[in-house]
Amino acid sequence: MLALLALVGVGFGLTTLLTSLWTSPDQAVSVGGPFTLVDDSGKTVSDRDFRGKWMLVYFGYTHCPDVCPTVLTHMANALDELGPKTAADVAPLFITVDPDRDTPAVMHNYLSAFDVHIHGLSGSDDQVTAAEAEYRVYAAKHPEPDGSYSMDHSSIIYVMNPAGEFVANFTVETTVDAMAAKLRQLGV
Amino acid sequence: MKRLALLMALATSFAAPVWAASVTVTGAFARATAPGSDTGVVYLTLQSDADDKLTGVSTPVATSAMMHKTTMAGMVMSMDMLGTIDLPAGQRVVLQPDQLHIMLNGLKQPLVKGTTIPLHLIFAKSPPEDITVPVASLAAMAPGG
Repeated sequence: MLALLALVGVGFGLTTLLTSLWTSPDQAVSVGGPFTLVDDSGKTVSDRDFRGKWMLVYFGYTHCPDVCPTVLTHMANALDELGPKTAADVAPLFITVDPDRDTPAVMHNYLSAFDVHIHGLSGSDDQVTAAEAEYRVYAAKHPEPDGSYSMDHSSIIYVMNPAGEFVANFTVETTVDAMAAKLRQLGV
Repeated sequence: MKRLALLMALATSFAAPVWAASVTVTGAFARATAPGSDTGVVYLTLQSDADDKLTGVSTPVATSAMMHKTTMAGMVMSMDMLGTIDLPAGQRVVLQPDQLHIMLNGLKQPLVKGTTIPLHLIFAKSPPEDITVPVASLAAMAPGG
């Protein structure tokens, strides 16, 4: 019950936060920030390595067959729609909320299934927790009766400009066309 | 002659046994798995001619198969296991991406697009059904996708 209340609380907090973001898009807001993680080739990377590019940041996990592939495919298709020249200015990032299972090798294999190059970022528990905190992402293990677990997690694509500042967000309901149109409007 | 027609009509109606509920399964598909992933998903549409419930699912290609519902609380996504899925008489119950799905855990083989997997469905009243599920692409939203 306490967990449910906490979840509702976090959900409400996020909704409030995002509503306020939408209504004041010109104000500088503190979603996103520095992170140090390990990419899917095993190399340590930080947010600074992506400066000069637009970042599309999505937190998820590979043992997520329902929502995560849908979101990542929408993201890939939106970049397809923008064309290869524009897509080269964009760094799509898939940051795991499940570093215990999502090692760099697992992330690499998983992301090889998508047409667009998506950077798979994992790391130690501490590194991932710090990145989640910067993006105000909620993530928690959800035990399953068969002994496995799924992850409850914020399902949001954050759009960060080349200076690393938050400018917009997409959800699982955002269509590919709407995503591409918004990115064009932002000047990607 | 009229009586014969009536008899034939009666015979036909008895040929379709009204006492045994049955569930029609359509539009089933699984998503292909990413390399190295042992978690899969199946979607399908169920329609029962009488009130019934889907009470269990299994497949020899996975160690477990569970009925799941994806829910969003604010922007937080979570998956909850369902013990059963209600099948009200005559109503289409659609398991589709980002909503209801059958989650396969511990896949013993990758799910490859263009292949099929067997799926066993158990109902509260209707006899169990064995279906063949085609595997579509990793992020397919519909069969053949």
